[in-house]
Amino acid sequence: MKILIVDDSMVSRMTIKSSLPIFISQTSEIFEAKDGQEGVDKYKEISPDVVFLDLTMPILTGYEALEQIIEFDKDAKVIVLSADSQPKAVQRVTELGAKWHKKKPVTKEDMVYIFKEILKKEAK
Amino acid sequence: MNLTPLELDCFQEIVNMSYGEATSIIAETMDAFATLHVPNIEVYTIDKLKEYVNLKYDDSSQSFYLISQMFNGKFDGELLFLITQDSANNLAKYLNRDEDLEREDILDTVMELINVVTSSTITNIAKYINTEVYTMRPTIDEMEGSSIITNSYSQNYSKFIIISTVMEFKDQNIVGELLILLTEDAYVNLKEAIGDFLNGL
Repeated sequence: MKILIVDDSMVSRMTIKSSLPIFISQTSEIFEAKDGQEGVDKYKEISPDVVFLDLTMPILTGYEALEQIIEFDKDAKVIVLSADSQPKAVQRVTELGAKWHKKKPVTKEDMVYIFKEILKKEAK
Repeated sequence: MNLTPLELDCFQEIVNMSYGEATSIIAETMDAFATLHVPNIEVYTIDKLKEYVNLKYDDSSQSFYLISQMFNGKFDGELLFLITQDSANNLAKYLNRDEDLEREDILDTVMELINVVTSSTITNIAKYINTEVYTMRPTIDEMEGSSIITNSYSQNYSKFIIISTVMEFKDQNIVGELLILLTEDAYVNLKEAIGDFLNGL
């Protein structure tokens, strides 16, 4: 599995990587991008299976990056991880095509849930 | 003893999460969608505070409001929130649905709202570094330039952290700046807590 983590904070990218379930981290290729634009470019280059996307980023925001990723690939599995958990923010990313919105900080339990759901959907 | 770039990045992420929670509370309270902008964070020694405020606010053609709030605990210090009069007026008018407001109404409204931002932000920062803080009642004053800087700041604190914040409520651009003044002990505790967090990754 290819996983793309798009977040301007190096610590946040490290936190996301360390929260991945072992069964995923040991069998996946993990790619990183430091802003929304780099995230979109990387997506087009590697076609990842899952994207973790922050919302508040320089150059292109998470909202703009999400829009462009979905425009490129309507089936993209984008999981928004953000400190902004306002209902309208969640609604907006859902409407733009994100599969999930999780409030930061993400936990190992959140990750296990997310990947179980992804694998369940893929098995159908 | 400065924060390393990695520690600063870590602290910025903690502030982002804390400020995000504060924004969510505000948006819920006001029944409005607030856009959160990425805070820019810088850490300086307290002797630079006067110079910073002079540079930023002294030649400003308008006065601004200063909301200050002390917090106690293992992580102790004082929060200063600076907001220009224009931003404060916009905020108060938006909250009171454009009614004509007396100066006292504006001060009350702004203080109440900023109290939510400052208390929530500092409480959450404390939570992420595994401690607790107790916030005191804030005060609000109208200020001009560097008149806010008194000697007591340099006597009581060793560092200050600048968190430049922008909150947008619909078309209103509310720009404010949060300064966190920390005692030397609080700063050392913060650095240690960040180190522990990074070691756990």
